[in-house]
This record gives sequence, C-alpha cells and structure tokens, in this order.
Amino acid sequence: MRLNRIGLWASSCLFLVTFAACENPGNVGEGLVGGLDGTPETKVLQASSVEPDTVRDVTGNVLVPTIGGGARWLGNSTRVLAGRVADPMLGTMAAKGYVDFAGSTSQAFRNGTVTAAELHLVPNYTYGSVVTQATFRLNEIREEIDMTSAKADTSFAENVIGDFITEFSIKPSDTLVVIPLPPAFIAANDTTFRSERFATSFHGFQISSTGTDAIRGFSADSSMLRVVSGQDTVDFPVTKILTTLTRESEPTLPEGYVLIQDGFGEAANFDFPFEQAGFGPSAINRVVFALPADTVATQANAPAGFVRPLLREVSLYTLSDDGDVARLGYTSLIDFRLGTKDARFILDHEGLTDIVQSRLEGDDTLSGFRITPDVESNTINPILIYTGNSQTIPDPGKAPQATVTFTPTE
Amino acid sequence: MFSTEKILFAVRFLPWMACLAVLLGQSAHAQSTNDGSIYSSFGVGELRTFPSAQIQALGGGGTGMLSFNYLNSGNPATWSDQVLTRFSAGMLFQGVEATDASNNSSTLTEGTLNTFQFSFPILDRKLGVALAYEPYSRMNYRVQLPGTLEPDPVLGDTNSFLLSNVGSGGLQRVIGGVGYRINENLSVGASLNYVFGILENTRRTEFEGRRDIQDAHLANTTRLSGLTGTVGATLTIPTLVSDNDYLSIGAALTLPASLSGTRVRTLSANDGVDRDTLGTPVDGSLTLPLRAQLGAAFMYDNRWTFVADGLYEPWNGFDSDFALGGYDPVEGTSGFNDRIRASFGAEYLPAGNDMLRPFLARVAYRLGFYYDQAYVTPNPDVSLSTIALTGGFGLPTLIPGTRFDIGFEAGLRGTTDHDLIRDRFYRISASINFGERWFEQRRLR
Repeated sequence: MRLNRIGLWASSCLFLVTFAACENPGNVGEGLVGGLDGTPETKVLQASSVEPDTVRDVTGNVLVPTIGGGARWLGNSTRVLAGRVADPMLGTMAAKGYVDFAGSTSQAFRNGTVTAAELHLVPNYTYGSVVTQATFRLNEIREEIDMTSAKADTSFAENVIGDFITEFSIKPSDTLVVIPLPPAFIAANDTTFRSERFATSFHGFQISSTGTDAIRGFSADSSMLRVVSGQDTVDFPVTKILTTLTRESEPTLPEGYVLIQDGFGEAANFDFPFEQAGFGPSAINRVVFALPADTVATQANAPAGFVRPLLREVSLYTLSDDGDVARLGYTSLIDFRLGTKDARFILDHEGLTDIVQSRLEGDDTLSGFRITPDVESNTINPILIYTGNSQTIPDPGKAPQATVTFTPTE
Repeated sequence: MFSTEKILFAVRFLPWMACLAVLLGQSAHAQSTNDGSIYSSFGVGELRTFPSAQIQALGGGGTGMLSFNYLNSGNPATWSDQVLTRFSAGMLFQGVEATDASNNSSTLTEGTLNTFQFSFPILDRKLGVALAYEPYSRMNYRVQLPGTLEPDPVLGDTNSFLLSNVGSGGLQRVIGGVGYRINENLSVGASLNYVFGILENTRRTEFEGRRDIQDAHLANTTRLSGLTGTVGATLTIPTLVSDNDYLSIGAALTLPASLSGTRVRTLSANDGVDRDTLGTPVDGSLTLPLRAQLGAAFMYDNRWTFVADGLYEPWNGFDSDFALGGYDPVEGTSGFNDRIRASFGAEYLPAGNDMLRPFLARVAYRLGFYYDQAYVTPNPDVSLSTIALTGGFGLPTLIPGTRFDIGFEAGLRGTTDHDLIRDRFYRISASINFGERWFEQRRLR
C-alpha cells in the first residue's frame, strides 16, 4: 500500500517535470509589459583629469624557509638592478643593487681555509646601451640591512657601505658574469665565510656603477657566491636583494603625456565625470577604462644601440578621500605593435562596475583611480600615457576613456 | 456522539497544519516553473480556483456540490458531510501558447504544487472541520526580447543582450473552518481565510554568456497579507425526480479582504538575496472585493452528477495604494471590471456505489465548461474573457476511500484584436485524495 502511494507521487512528479521542459518564451505581449524598457546603453566618457603622481616601489625581497624544507621569496621581484644610465629623455638614472647570501652548513667546508671566492651574476635585464660594456663597482656592506619589502628610495647612513672590493665589466652579450674576489678580501673574511653565524656576521655586497652606459638586472635565483674551502666548493645562494634608485636629472617629456615608470614609482591619477554624465537612475552593467599609450613617443630620442624597454603591465588602484588605496587588478599592454600608436591599457575589472554604481548612488568616498607599474618584475621600464589635456593634447582621440554600459532603471 | 478526542485533536493539530500549509505553499512556488499568461501581469495576477480535483474537472464551480469523497473548499457548508479523515494534494502543469496579431507566438509552461487539503469529521455527517491551502492568484508572465548593443567604441566588440519582463509569485489562501448540518436539508459553514503572498515584477537585462558584463535585475516586490472570511450554506432537496436523487443548492459569500503590505524596489545582478534596495520601502494596502457564489448540483442514481455555478466579484470598485498592472492610484486610472464566471459540468460513475464492479466501471468520468470574464483588461474597449473545456478521471485505488484524480483543461483567453494577445492554454492536473477512518473506538462484542 505504501509502495502504491509512493509510485503514484513519483509518476506524477515525473509527468510534470517532463512537460515543464517544453518552453519557448518570446516577445509576444511586449507592448503590454513595458516593451523596450530596460534596453542597455553605452556612454564613452573622457577623463576629467590625468595627473602624474609618485608611489614608492618595493624592490626589496627576502628568501624565507618553507615548512616543507624549501624556500620561497616573500615578495614578487627576484631581480636586482645595478648601474647607471644617461637617457636623453628620462634623464640620468642610477641603480644600486644590494645582495646578501646564506652560508654553508658543510662541516668539511668549515674545517678548511677559504682559498677562493667568486661572485656569479646572471644578467637578465638591460636598460641602456647594448653595444658598449658597462663597468661596475663592488663594495662590502658593513651592517645588516632589512630588505624585507624595502622601497626603492631607501637610503643608508654613510658607514653602512664599506670598502671598495673590486671593479668588473659586463658586456651586453654576457649571460654569466664571474667576479673573482681579491685575495685580501678573502683572507680578511675567511673565518666569516666559514662561520656558523655567517648569516648575521656577513651582510653582502653593494653593486653600483660610475659610468652611464646601462642599468643591468641580475637574477637572484641564479646568482650566487661560490666559495672554495679546502677540498670543498660551496655555492652560497642569494637570500636578500634590494635595489635603490636615484634620478640624477629630471626627465624631458614631450607635452601631453604622463610618465608611468617602474622602479621610480612614476604613476598617474585620473578620474572620470561619472556624476555629471547624465546617467540618471541606472544599473551599471560594465565599466571599461582604456588608457592609450604612445609607444613611439616612449621610445623616441634613443641613441643607436640604446634599449629603453616598454612598461607592459600596470596595476589599477582606487583612491579614497581618506588616503586609502586599494588594488583592483592589473592589465597588460594590448594591441602593441612596435612603431605604431595603437597600444593601450584596457582595464576591464568587475570591481569598476560596483564602484561606479556606488558613485552614482551618492557614495563620495572614492575620489579617483591610479595606475602604477605592476609589482611583478623589478625594472625601470617606462611608458607614456596620453593625458588628454586640452592645452597640450597631441592627439585628442587618444585621451583616457571610460566606456560605461548601463541600464536606465526609471 | 460528540467526541472530546476529536476536539482536542483539532485544537492541537490545526495550527501545525496551518504552518505546514504556509511553508509548503511558499516552497511550492519557489520550486515551480513559473511562466504563464501575459495577462497575469495585471492586477494581482490571474485568479485561480481549485475547490477540489473533482469540481475542477466539472468546470471549477461546485458551490452546491456535496461529496463524501472530496473536500469542497469553495463552500464551507459542504464540510459538514464528512465521514473520513482526508488529505489531498495536487500538482498542476500548464502550457500557454500566446499569439499576437502578427501571428507571432511564444510557448510558456508552468508546473507547480498547487493545493493541499486536510479535513476530518468531528461528528459524522454532521460537523466537519477543514484546512486548505490553495492559490488565489498567480503572476507568472514572461516576455523576452533579444537585442544588440552598438559596437563598443573602445573595445570594438558587439554585445548581445536579452530583455525579459518577468512576473512571479501570487496570492495564496489558507482556509480553515467548520461546516455544520442543521438538519437533513440545510447545512451552514464558515471559514477564516488568510490571504498572503508576494507579487514580483522583474525587468531583467541579461548579457548571456558574458561574465564580464553585469546583468541588471530591477524588481518591484510587493508583500501582502490579510484576513477575510467565507460563509456558506447548502440546501438539499432529496427525491426530486426519483427515490435515488437529490438536488443541492449552495451559496457562499467571501467578504472583501483588506491586504496590507510593503513594496520594495531592488536592483541586483541576479535574483538572489544580494539585492540593493532602491529608495524607501512603501507601505500600503489594497482591498480584494467580495466573492459571491451560487451553484446547484443534482445527483441522480448515485451515477450521474450535474453541476451549474455562477460567481461574481465586483472589481470595478477596486482600491489600492499600490500601482498594479492596469491600475494607477496616482493617475486615477483603472482597467478593472467586475468578474463574472459561469460553469457547468457532469460526472458519470458507471459503478455507482458498487465497489465490486470492474476497474473501468469504478472510474468517474467528468466533463465541464466554464466562461470567465476577467477582472482586468488592458484595453477599456475590450472585455477580456476565458472559455474553457474541462474534464478528467477519478481513478479508484486499492486504498478504500482514496482516489487519484487526473484533470484536463483546454481553453482560450483574450483576443488578437486591439493589439492584445490570445492565449491558448491547456492544463493537466494530478491529485491524490487520501481518505481513512481515524479515531475509531474499539469495542468489545
């Protein structure tokens, strides 16, 4: 009897579900219920302001042990920069690199005497001349430097940087640079190299340059300090890096652009007049920012054999009146074809939709937006963004734009 | 004999049943496929009745219909004639083909659990109690219009979208009351009706397959609830034509119901709970008009049953603080007319009371017809009406007192003239109607 009841209900449910699948709704009756009300529209807004700004770029990074016995970098960049370059457009820029190492746990190594030490650097970045060799200087660091999340504008007391150790040159084609350390330096640091407290008693090297040929980048993962003690040769891995940057002369930018440059923290603040755009009561469906970049102007005035790599990734932030800055996302330079003006950053983040919706509903806590170089790689790459400033505009069609798709709700 | 046990049962059990009915009702609407007539966008939606599976197959009237096998929720006076404790529930599937003057058509379907009934006698064939949940109205229209945005001037891509005007929800009734037979000829009854529900009109702008473009769902949600009551009476005249027949005349009057509630306007990217409220919620009320029903049922030879019914609701004086489809209190415009409904039906049960006849002879065969002049019209010059044929079978089961009912309905609503829409609809319902004898006192012989 119970099975009969269940069977009745089950067959009835199956019957209804089967029939309910046959549906083909259409537009019949649209005139009775509002017709085309709710049709989305699109407006393109020009930026109401584009202003240069400066942020402090993080160039410090440290390697920390993981639970599994390995190690990982705390920050994003594993490149350290060093050198000096005279750029006809962006001025003279100097980079000083700081590297520190982990010691050896080998007892045989500690029992011997250090007979040789070499600094191995693996270049992976060039800004400047790719035809001349650049000369670098190596100095000892005397005191512990906290490189964790250290900024590119970090400065030190004079006594932190110690004696000059050696000088070396790097040719543009070099993929590995081996810098033998002088016997006097080795002898002076023999016990330090073999010490159990190497990590706290040795503080690394500063790499700098007095020339103006190029700024080079070195891979922290591949570079090392190779030390020979007795019969034992040990590679000391790089565990801490920091790049400090100094602009020794001001850039000479063409008018109508704002410079976005990695390392130096050159950024741009901008905003759009959403509240004055006449959306009325609306639901915002999508907001896309397009920031045209002039790749030709960015690479103009470069001497022969001079490389000025383009910044290809930027991060988008929101700015609030109380000073809070929140990252929304990042984007890459698209439509990039060298030698054309078609490059642009398209910022199509879903968070923009909610932000613009809030602003249209009266939320005045967000005062604008900022793009900065992305934090993923440590470079000094630049890009020129059109400001759209009517006084100096080089190309009115290239001003930053916001494309807003919206649905009127009244 | 008056049973204290039954009274105590009623007092303890009925509140729980009321809660269950409300919960099941909300659940049923939440799970249902929800597309029906465009005309449900007007007023409080398309009005529904479902007095019982038997009566629905006879045209949906049955005000004077007495039955030991079915609860007639349309007239509480009929609740006096109960022998078994009953529980019944039904499901409904509806298909609507809407056609306009250009012969464009759309097909919409609805599947829903639509009724629950529970009843039992306190005194056999003298005093009975009933509790029922049933729909009062359904708002379930859907109109879709595809479109394409102008090519994006920055990205250059072309985005297509789909506009949908969707109605959902409706008003439900929970009915509880008693029927009492005063004498062999006269029964009276009264019920308290709790009317409640949500009417939601949503305008959706959706970019299908584009997760990077946020949909916009703008919803007007009106929650309403209120109380009303129904009084009814039946007059039974036996042996009218022969010794084995009777005529029953029934009347029921449901009082106007003042429903109070709140209207909220929300905006969201979907129909979920994450909605932004636009503006301030608006409180208000509306008054549903009275419902007057008159019907007659004639049963002959325990085999034939004929019913004829009429229903009247004066919607012409409808009053509401809320703007509804076809009604704007600010502009003072109303497209509402009085509702008139007439229905006829006949049932043939070949076996009569003989339970030993073959299965097909114990099946009840039903046929009916109704005409319903709607209370709303989009065009004041046009009276919107529905005509439909109904039918069904009452199938006996292995459980004595329990029947499984299948109902059919096919009809036409509206017209394609005057820029209106003609609905061709069909409904299939399935109901189970359990009847068992409870509270039997054991006696030693």
